Amino acid sequence: MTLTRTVRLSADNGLHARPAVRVTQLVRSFCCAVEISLDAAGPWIDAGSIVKLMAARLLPGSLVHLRATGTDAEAALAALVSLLGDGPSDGGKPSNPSGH
Amino acid sequence: MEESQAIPVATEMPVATERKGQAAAPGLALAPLEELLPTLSKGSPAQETKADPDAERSRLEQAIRAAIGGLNALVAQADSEAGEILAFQVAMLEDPNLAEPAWQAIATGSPAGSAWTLATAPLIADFEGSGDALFAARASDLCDLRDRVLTELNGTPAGPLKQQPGATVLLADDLSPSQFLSWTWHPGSAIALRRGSAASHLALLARSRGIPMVVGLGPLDAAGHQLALVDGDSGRVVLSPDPVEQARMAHAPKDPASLSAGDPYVMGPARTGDGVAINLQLNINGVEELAGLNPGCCDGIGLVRSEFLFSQGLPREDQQFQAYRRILEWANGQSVTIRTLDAGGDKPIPGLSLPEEANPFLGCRGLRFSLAHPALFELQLRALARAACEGDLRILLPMVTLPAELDAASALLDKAVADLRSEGLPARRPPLGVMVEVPAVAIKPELFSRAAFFSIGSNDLTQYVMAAARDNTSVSSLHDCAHPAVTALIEQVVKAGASLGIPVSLCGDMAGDSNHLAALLSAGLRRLSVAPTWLGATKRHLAQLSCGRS
Repeated sequence: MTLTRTVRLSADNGLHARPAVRVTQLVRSFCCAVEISLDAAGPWIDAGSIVKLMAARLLPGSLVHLRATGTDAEAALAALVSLLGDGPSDGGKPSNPSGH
Repeated sequence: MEESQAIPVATEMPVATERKGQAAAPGLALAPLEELLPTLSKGSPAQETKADPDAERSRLEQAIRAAIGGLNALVAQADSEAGEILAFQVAMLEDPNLAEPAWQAIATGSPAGSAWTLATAPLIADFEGSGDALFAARASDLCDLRDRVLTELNGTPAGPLKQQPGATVLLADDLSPSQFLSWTWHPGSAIALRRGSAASHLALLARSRGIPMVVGLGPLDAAGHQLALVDGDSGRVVLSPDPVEQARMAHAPKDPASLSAGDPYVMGPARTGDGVAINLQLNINGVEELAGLNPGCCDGIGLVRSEFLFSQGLPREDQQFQAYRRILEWANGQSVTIRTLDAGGDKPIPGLSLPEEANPFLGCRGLRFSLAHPALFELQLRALARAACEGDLRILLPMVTLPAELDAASALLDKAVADLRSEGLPARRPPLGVMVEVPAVAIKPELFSRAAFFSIGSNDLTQYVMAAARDNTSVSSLHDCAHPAVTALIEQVVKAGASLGIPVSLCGDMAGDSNHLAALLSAGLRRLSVAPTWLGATKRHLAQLSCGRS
């Protein structure tokens, strides 16, 4: 199945270097294919590729579209929304425990 | 190497050359100067005969694998901060999309080196040209990984760095994270860059290792100079500093991390020779400067420059809260004075568009800037009011000019506390103090009777009283904090504080300068705040002074 979600990147966190690495690691921990785009109409890029993510230069505060295809698509999108977004995600637990 | 290194004539000492750059990692260092000449990163030399695609492809594959291996070896030795930075490079190299254009170029006859340079060039150019400071700063990571692979291809030994046996001030156009990590940083070393950025991964590394660094020096000819001073707090770099400056440096322990171990005065009392106790606090740019220091060495933190939180873009409320809380934890019940964001045309913040001003020192900086950006300011006040539940936190407002500005900040703080409580978050209203650096405040301190405390910022006060910009070397002789006009104002503020019942401290560079300690004591000051580097030297000099006489 294919699911889509949109999320606004938090105002102080664009997808540069280290945050982008975290996204690719998260994506690759699921079996489904996840794509990301700045426009609902595409072009879609592979969210598991650090090179593509960096080249897309997703700046803080951008609205991004996520599209996942595969059995665990729903869980993958929930985890990504909680990693990327500003506000509380609906469904899905935050992926990283808030330690110190 | 295009310049023939003439042997410097030993008879004549080169004249001191001073530059003002941007402070990127705090601390002071005085060490032999080593210039790092630009690496050749133009790809393989021009033996552009038709290359064998199969052979070139496997050469490049091997070089990429070797570069990944080299990075992983560095990751294994790195702390978590450095590890994450290197992991980004590893992830880039492991992504087949990176080399994709190179395979195509090789298939059409390109040698491996030019194919690799070609593949990485558009990404690098794209980042360099992106308007975003953080993405632009990543371009140097990409150049770094490009050069790693080229080095593997060309078979030259890793890094052109000539390791020196002792402390070194490394001067370069720019430095890559892996060059930084491959260098053995002897205590007392520092970095001075003609270009570079305070938002770079390199700056993060330098800060976490305690290596002072100044960036953005612009053109600087090092020929003939053998010694350099780097002040990573003020952004000042001096080549061939004069003997007076060198002597002053000699009193400063060179490695802040080894302060507690090295200098017996650090843990000793802050007391004058005639037994008057001085409240001596620390100025810091971030919690990592406190690593290895025992909180018992000081009376708390007199100045936290909260700009450190903004070096990577605008921090979230929670990030700020956690950072403040860590400092309070270290202070272990002692007071911690946090200065709100001191941004302005002379202190740019990545991610904030600052006004283009002809004269930024007289423009929208400090509290003026914060009041003009209430959303940003409220976020910081919320984080501070939350952290205030965890210890003795105080808020210091920079560049206050009018009592109405203090009142406006005070109202915003009240609102932040009320909002937090209505959201069910624990909050406490910290005392609100005024930084005395604008002459209007120093001349009429009694107008600020509602301030909880005064903290004199001697650097800015001096530049405003003397009308000599502190970043303008042509008027540096006028920038004299010991001028009677400046010390008279300091004395006046101390007296006003005493009659108003408002405590007064001084947190500028003047407090850490042994030449001025006596003047500060005779002005009546008993509360000082200095950089951790100066703590031991300040206590030593205090012990030689007495308050009884002038």
